[in-house]
Amino acid sequence: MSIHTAHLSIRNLQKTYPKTTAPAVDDVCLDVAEGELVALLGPSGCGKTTTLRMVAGLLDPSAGEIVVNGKDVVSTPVHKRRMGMVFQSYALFPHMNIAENVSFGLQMRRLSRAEAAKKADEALDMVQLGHLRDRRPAELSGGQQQRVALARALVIEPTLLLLDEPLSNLDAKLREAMRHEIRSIQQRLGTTTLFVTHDQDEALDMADRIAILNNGRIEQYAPPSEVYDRPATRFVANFVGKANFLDVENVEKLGNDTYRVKTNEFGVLEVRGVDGLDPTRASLVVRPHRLTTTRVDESVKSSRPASIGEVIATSYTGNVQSYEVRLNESAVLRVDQLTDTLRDLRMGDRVQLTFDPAEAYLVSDE
Amino acid sequence: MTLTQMGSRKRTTGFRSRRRWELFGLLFPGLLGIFVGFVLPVFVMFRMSLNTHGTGGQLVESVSLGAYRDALTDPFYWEVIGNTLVLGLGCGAAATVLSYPLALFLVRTTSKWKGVLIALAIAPLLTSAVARTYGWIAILGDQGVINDSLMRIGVLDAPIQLSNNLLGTTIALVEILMPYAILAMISGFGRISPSLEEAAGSLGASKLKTFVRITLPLSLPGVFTGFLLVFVLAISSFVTPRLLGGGRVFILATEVYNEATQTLNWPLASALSVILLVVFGLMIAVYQRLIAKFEG
Ligand SMILES: Nc1ncnc2c1ncn2[C@@H]1O[C@H](COP(=O)(O)OP(=O)(O)O)[C@@H](O)[C@H]1O
Ligand SMILES: [Mg+2]
Repeated sequence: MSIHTAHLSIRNLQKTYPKTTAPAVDDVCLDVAEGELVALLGPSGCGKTTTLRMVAGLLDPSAGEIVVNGKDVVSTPVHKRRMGMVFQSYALFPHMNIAENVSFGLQMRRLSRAEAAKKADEALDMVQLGHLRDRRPAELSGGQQQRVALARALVIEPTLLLLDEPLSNLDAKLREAMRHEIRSIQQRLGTTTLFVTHDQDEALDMADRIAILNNGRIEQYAPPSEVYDRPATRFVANFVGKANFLDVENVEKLGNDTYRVKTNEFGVLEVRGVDGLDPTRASLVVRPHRLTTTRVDESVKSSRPASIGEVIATSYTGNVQSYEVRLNESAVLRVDQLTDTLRDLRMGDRVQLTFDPAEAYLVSDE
Repeated sequence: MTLTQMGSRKRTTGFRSRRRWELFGLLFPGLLGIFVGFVLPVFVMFRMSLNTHGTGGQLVESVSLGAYRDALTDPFYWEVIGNTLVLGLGCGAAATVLSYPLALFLVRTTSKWKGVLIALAIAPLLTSAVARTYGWIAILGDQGVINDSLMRIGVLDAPIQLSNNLLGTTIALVEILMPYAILAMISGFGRISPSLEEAAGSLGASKLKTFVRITLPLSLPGVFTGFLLVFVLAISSFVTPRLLGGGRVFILATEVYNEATQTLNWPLASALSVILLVVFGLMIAVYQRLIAKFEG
């Protein structure tokens, strides 16, 4: 399969469904570079599917442009857009066998029967399903159907690959395996890809960049590590990974992205944060694994900000041990640490929490 | 096999056979009803078809195929069988073609009026076939609405024959039986998910190609069911062929009536009924083959 990939630019895209007032997709702008995999991440109902369907041509936008390789395709009907779409339900044609499903798109593009069959077989081999070519979709497992759907979308050498929660119907083990399979095929072919998911692990694991949607708007569009370490908003910090929020006062801007803030629990800190946030509406994010605990009886004086509290809950998930530590009436922080029998804490233990302020991040409360 | 397995196996069989008796007990009233109301009459009818019609018009108890010979050697009855098939196939085809877009629309619409629209589509069933047949006589007759208007505006000099023949009967029956076709198709179209059509579109199929390659093949089971239902109802219909045919439309149902009530040749009437049943049976066999093929 050759590379026919594209640069996608979504500009001020908006969709308001008939008989609704609030737009489902609101002023979305997104640039996707050639060969990039971008995840649209957000909770259910935030407008991910709506966005994807507009790009595919299955839904007309209320406003905005969808520019593929420099050409606005909004007025191009779906069957002329050459976009490979993988549906959440896979949407395999039940009355055709696997090989016919995969070669359908090639026949529509007027390839000869022989050529279509040859390419379809190649695509099926790519997803390791060549031996099932004569089966009907109903005779395949969920994971196999998923791979057929992927092969069917890729065989037409699409300008864009569009995936709508492709893994949500698979069990956990298979989901992980498919993540890597999809990602490695995508990278091998270099197909520009939009990937819709509500699963943050999937997005962090697979994407070059993640667009986080909330109520139809993009809250942040950045590479996974940036989304995780430097979330733009409280919503992003909460949605991607786990987060503790500390209330702050007396926010003082020191530089472009450095602030001095006062917290009740840890005193005055110098931290990094989102550039240009509203100082009256900000919170400090501290990831649970950035916090370290020491028992009060053995605690040494720390140069780091510290606060003392009581363990009020513990939970164990194998490699990670989590605690909830109450510092005061309003602040209960979650701590994640790698399981370590020597530092095992119990309910009611009094502990000292510390963290490196360089690893905390000030976000807007929006 | 180990002992415990045998033990548990025995217990399940014991359980099964008790279940079986319970199920039979539950089904018994229904089975009895079917036997008395359906199997027995068919049997009696079949037995009657083996009797003979005496020269004086009396019924002679016998076991003979005379009635069938009478029916199948008389060219008139072959014409009757032919007319019956033409009526059934014609009504089936026309009702299916006309109902298809309606049913597809009713399945697909997201309008809040969907329920009302479906009710409206089948509302004609609330009126009796007799009333609707008289309605069609008023429309199709020689002085009916159609001929009258066409003659007044000068398109026609003489009325065209739309009643008292197979054509008029077919037209009326199609309208009368369409609600059944619509209902059958609505339930048959449920499995065509719109995302299949969207997938076809994204793979480069135009609207027309999507219909031909995806929607139509997937809708065929519903279409066959609608066709079968209309076919069966049309060839067994009596009121409309009788009234709108004006005594000049000869199909199996009307001939059975004539033989049974006018000529009083009950063996022949029964033999014709059995032939009608065989036509049903053949049609259902064809239907089942098609369904098996297309539901794959
Ligand atoms: N056909 C529709 N008509 C009206 N509202 C819709 C329709 N489809 C989706 N919505 C609404 O638009 C919003 C976004 O939906 P969607 O894009 O499906 O979300 P997501 O895929 O992120 O879960 C939701 O609030 C949903 O209720
Ligand atoms: Mg969705």
